[in-house]
Amino acid sequence: MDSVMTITLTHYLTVAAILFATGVFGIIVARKNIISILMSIELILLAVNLNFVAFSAHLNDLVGQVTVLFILAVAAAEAAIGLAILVVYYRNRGAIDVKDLSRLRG
Amino acid sequence: MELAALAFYIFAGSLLVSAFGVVFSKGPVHSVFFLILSFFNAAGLFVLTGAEFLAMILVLVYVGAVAVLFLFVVMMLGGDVGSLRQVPLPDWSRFFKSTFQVATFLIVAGGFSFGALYFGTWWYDIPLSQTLESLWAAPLTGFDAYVLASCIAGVALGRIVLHGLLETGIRKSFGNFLSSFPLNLVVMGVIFGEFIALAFLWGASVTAPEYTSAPIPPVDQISNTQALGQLIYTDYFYAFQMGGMILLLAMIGSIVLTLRQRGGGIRRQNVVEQVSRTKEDTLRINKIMVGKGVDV
Repeated sequence: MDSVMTITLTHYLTVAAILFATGVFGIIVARKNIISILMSIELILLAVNLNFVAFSAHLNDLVGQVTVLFILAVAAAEAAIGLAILVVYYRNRGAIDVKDLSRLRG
Repeated sequence: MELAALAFYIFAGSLLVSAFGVVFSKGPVHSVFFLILSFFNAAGLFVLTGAEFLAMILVLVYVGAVAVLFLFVVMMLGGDVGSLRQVPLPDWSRFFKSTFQVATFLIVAGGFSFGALYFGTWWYDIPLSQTLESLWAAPLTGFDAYVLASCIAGVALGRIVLHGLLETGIRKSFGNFLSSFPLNLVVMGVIFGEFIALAFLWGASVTAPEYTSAPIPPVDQISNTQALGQLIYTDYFYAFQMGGMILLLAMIGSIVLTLRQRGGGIRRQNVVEQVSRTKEDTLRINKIMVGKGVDV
């Protein structure tokens, strides 16, 4: 039971892997509307952040946490732009069903 | 149970449950609330690894700004979010209907993973007994949990890749070829086997600790926040400024995209027009003949 008691790097990597798979699943398969896709992207970024922090603690290197800070900034910027696009799209189309997204092309 | 382990399992468990809630919940408002819950749990996990500044930043920025932004947009769009016409989840059991398919998948996965294990032992000169020992040694090591989780992830990702390929509207013949069960199961088995092989063959490099560019100072001397500040404002200053520029760009972009000019009778000052007035725009000298008049 020692592997269950002491939390190692592997535990964190497992959680991050499952989180990442859930996010990818949410984007590709279970996409209901654009907002759920954006939220799945946030889940993926959270999994990557968890990975970076776990390795930073394991390798005793602070650079992992600096990287997480910048990933956070970029994720916030991308969420803002994605939601702005969503709002404008909704203004023009009246709904944000994913099937109608093909009209953005061309 | 030890408190740290208990805290980890509580945070990790509710993180995964709320992540499933984000994807599978009924409406967008529920999804946003589950997302907020996952961010809080992830912040708890961050604190457990010792990155307390990042945990608080996660709560402040991700929950306080990004998730609230999501909630604003969801509330603004109201009921027209399109969730009523959601794409139904496909019937997953159709991929494993017959025992022949299951057997094929297991054979391909097992064959690929054992083949990769043998290849790895040959490539890295690890004696095979040592590799196989780790398979039987401790029934529930962290490796095994990782193997199980990565197998599940691998199967899920294999299905996702195939489903995604099928849903993108590629030509019907190629679609039929992809949905034919041997190729299906071979791809799944390969991804599955890759995860198993990776789980047993991975290891931290012994020279990795030599490459740490910024060792974490002891917590009783310098707090995590201070240590991060010592790093960001000296070595990573350019990246810090670029991060600021990215956020400025996002702000300008959002405003440019969503700003609506009010049309109609609102009078506005056009400063450029006002400032660039010349004498010719304002003044005109008329020579008036006596007895004739002025044309205005």
